[in-house]
Amino acid sequence: MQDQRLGKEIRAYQADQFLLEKYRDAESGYLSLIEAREKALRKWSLLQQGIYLFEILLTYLVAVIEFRRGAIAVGAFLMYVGASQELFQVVRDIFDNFVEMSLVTGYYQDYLDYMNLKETMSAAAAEADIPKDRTGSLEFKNVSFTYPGQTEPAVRNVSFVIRPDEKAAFVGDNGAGKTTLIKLMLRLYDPTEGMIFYDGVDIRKYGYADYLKLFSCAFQDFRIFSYSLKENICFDDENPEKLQDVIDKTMLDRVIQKCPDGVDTYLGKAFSERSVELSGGEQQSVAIARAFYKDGRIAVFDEPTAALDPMKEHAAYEELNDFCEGRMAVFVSHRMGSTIFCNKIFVLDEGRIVEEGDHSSLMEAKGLYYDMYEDQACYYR
Amino acid sequence: MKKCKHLNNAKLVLQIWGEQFRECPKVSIYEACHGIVSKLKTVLEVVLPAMVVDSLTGSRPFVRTAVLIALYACATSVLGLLDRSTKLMQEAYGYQAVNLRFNKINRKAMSVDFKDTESAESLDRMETAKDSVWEFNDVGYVICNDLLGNIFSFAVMSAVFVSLNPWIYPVVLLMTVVSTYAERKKLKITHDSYVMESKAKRRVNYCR
Repeated sequence: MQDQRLGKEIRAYQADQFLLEKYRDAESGYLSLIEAREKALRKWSLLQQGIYLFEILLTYLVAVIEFRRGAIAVGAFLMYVGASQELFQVVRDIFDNFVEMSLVTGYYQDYLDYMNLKETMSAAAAEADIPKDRTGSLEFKNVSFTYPGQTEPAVRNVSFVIRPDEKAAFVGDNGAGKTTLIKLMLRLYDPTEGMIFYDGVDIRKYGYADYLKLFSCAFQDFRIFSYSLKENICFDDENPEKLQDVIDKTMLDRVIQKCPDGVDTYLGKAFSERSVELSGGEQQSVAIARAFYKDGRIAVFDEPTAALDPMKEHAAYEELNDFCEGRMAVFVSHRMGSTIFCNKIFVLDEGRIVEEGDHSSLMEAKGLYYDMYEDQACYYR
Repeated sequence: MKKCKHLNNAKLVLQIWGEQFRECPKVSIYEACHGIVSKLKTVLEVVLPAMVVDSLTGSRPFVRTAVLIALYACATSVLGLLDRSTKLMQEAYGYQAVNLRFNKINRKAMSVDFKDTESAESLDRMETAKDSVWEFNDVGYVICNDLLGNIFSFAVMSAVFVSLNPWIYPVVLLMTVVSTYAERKKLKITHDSYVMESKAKRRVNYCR
């Protein structure tokens, strides 16, 4: 509830009571665990306190006897009592130290349980090299994928080829499997059936990091970091000329105009008081600029203009079109208008490719693509 | 079999400490300094006032009492200063040591298979790992600060204690062993409970 990004949603839907209730439920679940732990600890704490009491009484008893028979003076009496109490504590502490050390291994084991999770993708040795001087074709061959823990496949027996300079679009309703296809393409997941090839080689044979370097992506759920605008685009690979080139080619100059320190302006309040808060559309421009700056051989844009207004959307698509000229590009969009400049359009329905072609051929076929296009177009007539 | 388990535990403890020492040696150095300084302060607070009282109540020259008082005042002041300073530095470097562990978790989170960043089971596992860092990273503190300081204090206090009344010594040790058994049970309960608590805490943190 403290997350400012959720503030609008909560207020608009007056969901504060609902969320407070959820918070209370979660908190009471946590508290009941703490109470159960304290209850289990109580009897052992009582035993310890009993022993401690006995030790103090015993010490004082002996000290008083020794003092009364003149064996020790007042100072020695005090030293004896003080030393005995410190000794009890120290002996207990030393044993506790060993107990603590033995239990520390349990905590370390919990840490290792996570640290030893297998890195099957990133740690696998590369068996093939990505061709350096050219872009290869990307091919899905009978690919199916079911998310872990799910029974229904999100993608079913999908096959297609995208050639090096082609622009492809995946369209379809929500849940049709578009974003899952992108995840498979980026090798965030491996297919449960079938294979994916880049330049004729199974993508699992390439080094994971090398393969990911191929892609320039802008995701639907992009994230802006609370660092400078420049760092949001370049990360740790700053090249001023390249950055200026990206600024010239995108709508970023409009964003920079409202930044008091230019590209060094911080976005978000975590690190600077002179930071700016960008609108959703401006943030999306930054996400697109980030993809341009990376200059990958394959451009992947998942709903890249969802947060832009129609005027900016049109301009953004022109920028994207220029950027994608001569390189492989993959678009995912609900907006059918954005697919017109693509050479290949794949229409997805329930995880399957049900239609394939360019805009005119799909319109002529009067299938699902035609229906979806017409449904959207009627609002603009 | 049990002996073997203890031996493995001891090896693991040394391994954890060794990792921490390699990454952030200053934390162990300051922990050791703080352990010795704080226990030395405690020992002096027990021994010197008693000597002052005996000096005052006996027929010793006043100069001796004055020297003892001055010694006590100076020693406690200097040790108090060192105690605070080493504690502060030890906490600062301890925080750095914890952050170095968190960095490892960050790197792991970036390199695990993507499916392991999306499943609830893996998220719970990561939360437990993050919580456990605060616990096991204390191993250096336990060895360098607590154990070293306690052994030093144990040696001095045992000498004082035995010189006054030797027979009570084994009784106290025996009682303390029983108390330690209780402590072990408590720590076991705490550890068993924290896995569930970490999961519940992740949910509370989300709702917050």
